[in-house]
Amino acid sequence: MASAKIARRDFLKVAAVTGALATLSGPEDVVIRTLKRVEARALGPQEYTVPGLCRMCVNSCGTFFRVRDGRLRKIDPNPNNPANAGNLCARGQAGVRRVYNPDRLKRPLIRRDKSLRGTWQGFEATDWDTALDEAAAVLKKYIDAGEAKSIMVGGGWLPCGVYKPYVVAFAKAIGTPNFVGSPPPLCFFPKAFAWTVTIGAGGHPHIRADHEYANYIILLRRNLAGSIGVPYAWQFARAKKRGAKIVVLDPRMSESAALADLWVPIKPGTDLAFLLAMGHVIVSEGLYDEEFLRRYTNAPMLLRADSNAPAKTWDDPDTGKKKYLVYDEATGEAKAHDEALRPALAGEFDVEIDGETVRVKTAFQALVERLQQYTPEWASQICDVPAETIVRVAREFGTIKPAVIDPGWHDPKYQNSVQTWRMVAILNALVGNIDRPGGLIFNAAGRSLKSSALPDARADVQWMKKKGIIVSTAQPMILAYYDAIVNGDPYPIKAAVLTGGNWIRTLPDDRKWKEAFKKLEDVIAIDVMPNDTVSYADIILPDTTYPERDDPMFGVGFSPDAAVATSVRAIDPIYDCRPMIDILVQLADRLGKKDAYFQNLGAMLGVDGAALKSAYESEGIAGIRRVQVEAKGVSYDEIVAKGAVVLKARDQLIGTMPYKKPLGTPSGKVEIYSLKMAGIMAKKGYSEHWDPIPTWIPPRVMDGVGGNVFYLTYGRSPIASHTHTADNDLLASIGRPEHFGVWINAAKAAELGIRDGDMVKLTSLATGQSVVAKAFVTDGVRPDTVFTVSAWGAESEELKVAKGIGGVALNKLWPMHEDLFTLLPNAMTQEVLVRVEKA
Amino acid sequence: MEPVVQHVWGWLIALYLFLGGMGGATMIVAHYFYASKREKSLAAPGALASLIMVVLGALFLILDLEKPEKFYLAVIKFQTSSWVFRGTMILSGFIVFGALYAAGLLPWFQWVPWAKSERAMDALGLIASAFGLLVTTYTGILLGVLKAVPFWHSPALPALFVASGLATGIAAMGIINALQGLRRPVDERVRFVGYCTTLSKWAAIVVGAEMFILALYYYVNMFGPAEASSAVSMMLFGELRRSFLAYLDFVLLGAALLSMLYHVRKADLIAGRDQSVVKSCILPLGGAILIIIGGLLLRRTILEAGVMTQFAP
Amino acid sequence: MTRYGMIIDLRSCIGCGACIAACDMENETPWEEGKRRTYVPRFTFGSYPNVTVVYMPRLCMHCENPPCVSVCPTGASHVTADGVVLVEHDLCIGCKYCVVACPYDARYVDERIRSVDKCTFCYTNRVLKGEVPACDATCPGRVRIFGDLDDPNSEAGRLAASGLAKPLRPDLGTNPKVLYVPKVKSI
Repeated sequence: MASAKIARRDFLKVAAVTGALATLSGPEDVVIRTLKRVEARALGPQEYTVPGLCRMCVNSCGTFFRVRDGRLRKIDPNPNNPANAGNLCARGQAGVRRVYNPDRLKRPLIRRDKSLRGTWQGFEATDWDTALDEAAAVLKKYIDAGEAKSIMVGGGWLPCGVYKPYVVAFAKAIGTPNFVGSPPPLCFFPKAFAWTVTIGAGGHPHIRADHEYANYIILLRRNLAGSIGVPYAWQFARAKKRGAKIVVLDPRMSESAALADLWVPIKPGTDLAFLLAMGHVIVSEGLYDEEFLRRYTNAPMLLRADSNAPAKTWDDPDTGKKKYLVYDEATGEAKAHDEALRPALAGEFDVEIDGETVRVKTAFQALVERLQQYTPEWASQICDVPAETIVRVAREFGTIKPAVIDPGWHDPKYQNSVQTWRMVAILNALVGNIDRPGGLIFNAAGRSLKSSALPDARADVQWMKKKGIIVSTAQPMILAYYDAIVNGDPYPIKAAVLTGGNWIRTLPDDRKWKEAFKKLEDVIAIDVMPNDTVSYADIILPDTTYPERDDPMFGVGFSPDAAVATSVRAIDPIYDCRPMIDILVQLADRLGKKDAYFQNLGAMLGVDGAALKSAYESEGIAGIRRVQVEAKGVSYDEIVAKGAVVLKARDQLIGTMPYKKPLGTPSGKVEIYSLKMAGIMAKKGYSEHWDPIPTWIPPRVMDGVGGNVFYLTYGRSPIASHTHTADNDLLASIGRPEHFGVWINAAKAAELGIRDGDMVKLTSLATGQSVVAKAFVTDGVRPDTVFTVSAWGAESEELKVAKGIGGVALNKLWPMHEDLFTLLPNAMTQEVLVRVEKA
Repeated sequence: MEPVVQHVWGWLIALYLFLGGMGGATMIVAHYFYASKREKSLAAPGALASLIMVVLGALFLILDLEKPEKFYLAVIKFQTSSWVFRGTMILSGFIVFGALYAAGLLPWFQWVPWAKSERAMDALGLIASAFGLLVTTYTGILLGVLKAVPFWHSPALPALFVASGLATGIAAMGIINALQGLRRPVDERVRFVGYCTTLSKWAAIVVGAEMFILALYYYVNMFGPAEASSAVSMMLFGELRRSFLAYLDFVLLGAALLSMLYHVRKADLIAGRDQSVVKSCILPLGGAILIIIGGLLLRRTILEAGVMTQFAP
Repeated sequence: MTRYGMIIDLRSCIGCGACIAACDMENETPWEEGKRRTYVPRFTFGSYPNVTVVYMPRLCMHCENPPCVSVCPTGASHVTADGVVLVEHDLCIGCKYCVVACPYDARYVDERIRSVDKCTFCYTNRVLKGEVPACDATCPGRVRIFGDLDDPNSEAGRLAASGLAKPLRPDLGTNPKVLYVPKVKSI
């Protein structure tokens, strides 16, 4: 079948060539030479393409893999996939060099001397049977002793995202509840939490600014253009091209700021003050969308005037949503919000509630009163931004339609991150842009979110309960596992099965995690690259790169269109590697858990487990795909030919929430006043961190900057997604000093005697650890701030490219904040000062 | 903006430009000695040396090719717009007429029919000299026509190369003259001492002209396009300062040596003093060698200062 | 008459380098030696906080009056009937005159094939098959717009005709078919 396909493709190519040549004219010898060359390419070597999905970052863009003479030559963007819509970034293009990276893990490795962990010594190459048998024996030891839960199944962004069901099915099958992907408190939790309590969805796959149609875009704490995420970057760049005005708040001149019409070099961590002052201008100048606030938000909700607590809420048994009281201007009474003719938006009233007269005000009134104090002049002092700039941005945001503030991506950076994003959400609601073209819209994945509680048996859940952390808001808490491994608290974690991820290089204070990984009794790692964390493994099971394997079917995240996609194997593995799903199934099989694996998997994928198993046994991962595709009612041939199939287009989905369908918030409305946070407040008492109406919280680290002490900031660059892409020779060769080095303000550098390209030592005032990296001296960063890109600092000498790049290992500079868990889970990765000296 | 310098042409092309310039000019000076003095003992080795220099230069050019074995394509494809093609034509013309001329001068080839006819030899020598001038000039035009390198793109560059070519050609003849003089008994040497005086005078004059052109060229370019002024400052103050100063030192020292000898000898002549071997031959030899090394350094320095056109958005 | 060219819209370039990587993979350039057909320098103007950064993709300008072609002694550098400047590797003897003659620094020596090489607009490997060049195909900012400059219905043709897109250094008289839409701030 494959050869028939190729033959037809070649025929088409020749036809295309002939067609092209018919239009070709010019000096005869030139035409003939060109003709010969085209023919040689079309007819000579065997060339074919298959559709795939990019795995160079979490966005999973649609691609085509082009193979000639058995070698992957090129990765092209796949226009069938609505997420990237025929665009691909440098990292996606450089996927070819991931496959042919000589640094890859090439065969199974076993090391018996555990004292050598953290080095690459003592490993012996072995065959798959031996490696899988040994790995299974290790796991069996815990399972047989009834200690399966002391196995932690961990990973990074891959098992956190699309591969999650395949890894969780394994964890469940071997009997451990302890699965952890990318740790949310280090990834997106504070931002996602704020959005979720306001509009019911908040993860980066779930919501987006509709850059495609926006005329005014404000971006903060995110570098859309430079960190790429093609599904967002292509629209952002084209918004600019279309003439949209772009404002970027960033202490450094990021790629996004370079694109912007206005770069606001705001003081790190003070965006909240800027936003509060914007709110002040918008409410005081009446630039808000009154009708939207009245009908689709809980702005009319009545609060007790003395405490700002909701006057009264109760459950609606029909919808499962919270009902609340509003003041009906038509009748002059307090009524259930869905019964009032015209709910009052602002004002204070005396109303009768359950036979008692209560002084109440609307949530909007409370917001207006709160914002009173946050004048642009006040914010100007905090943000180091002229008050006129704040006023101008607020007025433009309130008057240019449609306008949107981008919902962000990664933000565990400051203790005020939650309230910052709450305020962003509220500002978007004030101008009434929710789920409207050019506004703040939902990706298809964000329209039907189900929240599921974490199982009580998990080590992190028990640990959080013990510490009195608000479990209902918590996501997997990787930092709890440090205590579990090192101190046996709440119960010992003794073994780790790693399915990707690079915790030694990404979790705050690497010394603590090195200690933990040395303490573990057994470490099994499945990975493509010999990264810093894999060097702590006893058994290494090498994964394939993505063009070397078939994939199941996935929902397309990061797109307003609802679509499904898959990746077709382009070439056979070039080394003795196996796809992670196969490895997990083979391990489960050796443990007698294969049936359980497919039952678990079926339950998560919503298909029959037994059918999955038999399809897998006959066709491998492609069989899983076939079962999924058939269950979706999509044509299998179509999806493996096109790579992606759109199920429902954006236009059919947009403009429905909250207009026709309730949001995932407690009230189903946009919550200007967060009932979820009010609930926390009722349980735990008042804290500014869960004040249901945003309030100013300064970053912890405000003072102490000056001389050679700077705020530490970080972000992404277009040539690196994370440590996972650091070891890529093509990307390294494209990179420039600004992508690898430490950004230092030019005037400040001159003061410190640092020249561009000098090696500088950064010492964290929080951890005391130092790193040495090259200075990138520029006018594009605040004088009080240094910036660096987060992918670097590899210590594994097996990563020859990444090791050669050097760069800053940020997690040597980040402390593990001791009181991290007393607040909302948040690693506060920019609450750090560094001392900069010439190295 | 950091200047971007052409990096594909290195020592081999510098040698080619230098040998072409010197070789072409040597033919002219050699022919002078035949045409006005009938001095075959200088004209013959001069023409031969000139030929060897140009052929050697062409060899370096071929060696610089990525595909030396395919150099013939530059001739047979007849791309008349290309100065490389035109150069191959000029070189071929020079080699053909230079060889015919040299044959008429060299003792081993006296059997060629035109060797006997002074008129034919005068004509041949004139044609060979004309080609010699073309070769010398062409090495400057090759670079001068390139708009991509604003510093090169100046009529002063071919002029400078011609001046430098003539200086080195005169110096080359000076060496030949000195060697011929040394070989001869003292009484016969007087003639060569005379030639030496003439050559020394010329060398001083031509080097003077070269310096004049150089000064104008550099001074005007300092106010020229950014690329050109950065090329000049690279040579005056930057990383090419050493090789530029070495060029100046060699050429000026050589010319100074020759002009000093010229005056000393003139004084000797007036006073009726003996013409010592050291004064008449060895010292001019040193001056000539210095000028020749300087000529090579000039080509190399100019190539290294090939700052490419730059762009800012 | 088809007249292939490319518009580079500096307004939406994010300097991501996708075009560079795509070109290196598509054309198997000697990128490991730092020789590539396209590159994207970054320019910073002004001093803090009044700073402007511009990314400027660079490639062969496919000039209508290409200095590289007129200096070529063998005819290896030539222009196709539809206006694409190419190097015929078999004819190139590697004199490198074109490399120094190109004002746009668009050419390099590929030592593997002992020939000068350059951007081809992916002519034989994509354009003749009806595809756009690899850099255009991948560009997330839609910065690169390849097309027939004479076709008023193509985006490239419209931009070329609008006068919005301008050549680099028109004073050189090369008449490039790669045109730049300058970056301007709208606030």
